[in-house]
Amino acid sequence: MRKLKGLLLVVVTAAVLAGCAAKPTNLVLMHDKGGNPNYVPFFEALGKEAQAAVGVGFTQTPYPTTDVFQAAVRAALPTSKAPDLFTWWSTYRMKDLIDAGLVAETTDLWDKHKAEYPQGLRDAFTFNGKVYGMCDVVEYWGVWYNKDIFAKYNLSVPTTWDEFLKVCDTLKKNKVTPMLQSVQQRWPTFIMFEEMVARQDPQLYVDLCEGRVKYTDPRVKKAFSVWSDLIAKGYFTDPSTDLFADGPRLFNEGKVAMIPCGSWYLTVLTGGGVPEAKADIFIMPPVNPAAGKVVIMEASPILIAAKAPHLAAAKKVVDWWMGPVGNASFAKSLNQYPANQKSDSSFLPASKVAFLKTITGDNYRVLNRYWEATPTPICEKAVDEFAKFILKPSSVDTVLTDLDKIADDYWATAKK
Amino acid sequence: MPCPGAPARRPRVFLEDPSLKTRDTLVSYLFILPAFALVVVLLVVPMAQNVYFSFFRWDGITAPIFNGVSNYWAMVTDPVIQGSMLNTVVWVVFTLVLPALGGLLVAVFVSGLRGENFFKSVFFIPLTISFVATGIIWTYMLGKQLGVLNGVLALLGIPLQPSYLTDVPLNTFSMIFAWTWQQLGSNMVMFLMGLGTIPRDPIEACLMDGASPWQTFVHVKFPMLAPITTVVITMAMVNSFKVFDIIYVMTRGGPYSSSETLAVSMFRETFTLFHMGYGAAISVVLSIIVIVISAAYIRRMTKRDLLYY
Repeated sequence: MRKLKGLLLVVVTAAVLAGCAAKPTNLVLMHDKGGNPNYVPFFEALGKEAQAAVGVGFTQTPYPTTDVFQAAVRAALPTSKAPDLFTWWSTYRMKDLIDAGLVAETTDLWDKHKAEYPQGLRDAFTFNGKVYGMCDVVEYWGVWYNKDIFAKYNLSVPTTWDEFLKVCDTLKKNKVTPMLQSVQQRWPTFIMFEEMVARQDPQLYVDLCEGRVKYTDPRVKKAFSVWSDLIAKGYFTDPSTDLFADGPRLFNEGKVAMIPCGSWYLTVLTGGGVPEAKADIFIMPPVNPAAGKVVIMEASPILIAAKAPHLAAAKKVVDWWMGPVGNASFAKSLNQYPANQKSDSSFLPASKVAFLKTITGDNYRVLNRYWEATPTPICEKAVDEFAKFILKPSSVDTVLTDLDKIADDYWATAKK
Repeated sequence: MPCPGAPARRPRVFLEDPSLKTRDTLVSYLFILPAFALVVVLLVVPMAQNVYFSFFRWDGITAPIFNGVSNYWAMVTDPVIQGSMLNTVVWVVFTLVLPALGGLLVAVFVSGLRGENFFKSVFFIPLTISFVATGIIWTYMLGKQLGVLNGVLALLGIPLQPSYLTDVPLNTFSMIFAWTWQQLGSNMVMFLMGLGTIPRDPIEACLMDGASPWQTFVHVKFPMLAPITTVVITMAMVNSFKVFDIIYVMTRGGPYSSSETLAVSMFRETFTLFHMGYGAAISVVLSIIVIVISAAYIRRMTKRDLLYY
């Protein structure tokens, strides 16, 4: 009997140890894409792919709204319950987390994949010489246009500002609203702002975002006067038009010919019933020819928590995800540009392939999107000031003075 | 001798037995305990924490910095909060005028009408829809270019094409209208309940004395509806102070914070700008207002005359 008990103990102990040894490390990825858009199936597939490729997978904790997600992540990061990986926004949107020491450094991984990523993208993830997180996908901002309408009125893609104005004028004369502009949802007000300033002078845009130039600078005011002129000529929809609810329908019905937005907007258009063949994208020509070839970029980061329960394993997954195969796999599921330049991107729609070819082939200067390029406390209030201007262009002086006050208040106390 | 049908008195011996009385009390407390614990853990403690953090400057990730009553003082000087306060007052006033008064009028006209049940259902159906869905429906209805309302105006040849959600202050009134559409039904039901409990005798006496239906309503029915009116008005006030979902869906408080109420400002400061202390201070002020009104409501609810109805 004693022998039998001993044998049983050995068997049970061995089984427990075997169970422990076989238990795979499972990371947790927190993200805000559990509602619309819904990335749950894509992250699930990627977790399994990572497991097969490097022996470490991840499960996900999705949140349906950005606000709740941000609050949950910020609450979890300083604790031992921090997620291993989490989605976030680049540059100034991640700065406060980095300043608080809540994000793990990944300089070694960026160095390893140096030849695969452009310097501009690395810069958007760099703080005080150290690089944080990784970039899963990149999108560029341009002007989506209705090819049928352009063909109907014999219009071609404008390459100069004068040509662009001529296109708008022709459309207006034919009772087609040239462009969509919206104050709904708050944030879309920065779209035309960044286009106007960056196409006047890209360095002015960078300096403005980083607090080296005032909003009341005459060059900024000039950019606003061009914008004001476009509004006065009736080249935009009513500002109450919603980018998501109304945009695809107006575009499809030929009531609006152009929508300035990210290259990801193609998914919104096709999701709203616009045939893919009907839409194409171009980069807004420079208002000031000296501004040169400039394109706005939007990078989507995946960050590793400094207090990640499985830090080494998380870096292993990120290393694979940054590589050409992992990066292409996720981008393919989203139909977006892989951040890794060596990744296969042949899966992309023809319009997006041609758009990327223009950007890389013509050596465009890549600028960060205003949402990430300027500190969040400034941006969140600035979008309301832009709305004031859109609704009442004559308020430009008050708006610029208010913007200066908002920026000055921030820069006076912030660590640059 | 007890009235027929009145509940029998408990035997005196039971009440006088101290051990039984103590056991009874203990059992009662045990039954209350789970609910009480939940309220303490999920409401009282977070509320106390919220009050505590309202005296700090805090971004939610770094150590909070004590700044006394600065957050409360900032509320007084912040033009956005002043605008939110004004909008909140507009919401409260018009919520009393439109859904409450509208509910009363609909109840009076529908009561006793042929097809009463049909009309009651028509006015009640919007209440079964969530605030978020109501917001989405009315966003489509009120769109300037593709909206149903402007489409109808165009069909009728009326040249007006308002921007219901971006023109200030039309945007606030547009949302109050959407809110009224949803809330009218619940107020109507409350008033119908009240009208149903009014005894026939005084009304008939009034009519026999030659009073008109209007005079009967003003001098007899309406005063007898007082307890229900108190409930409807108090609930309307509390709900309009808390209003958030419909605004967040329809305008997000924009453009340029022009349609924000205190609840929306509190959310934006806390979860968009991560001014946790400031957001906490706004919520403390909002809570005090709502608690005072709710206390008045509960006091009224527990009065005997209301229980009668």
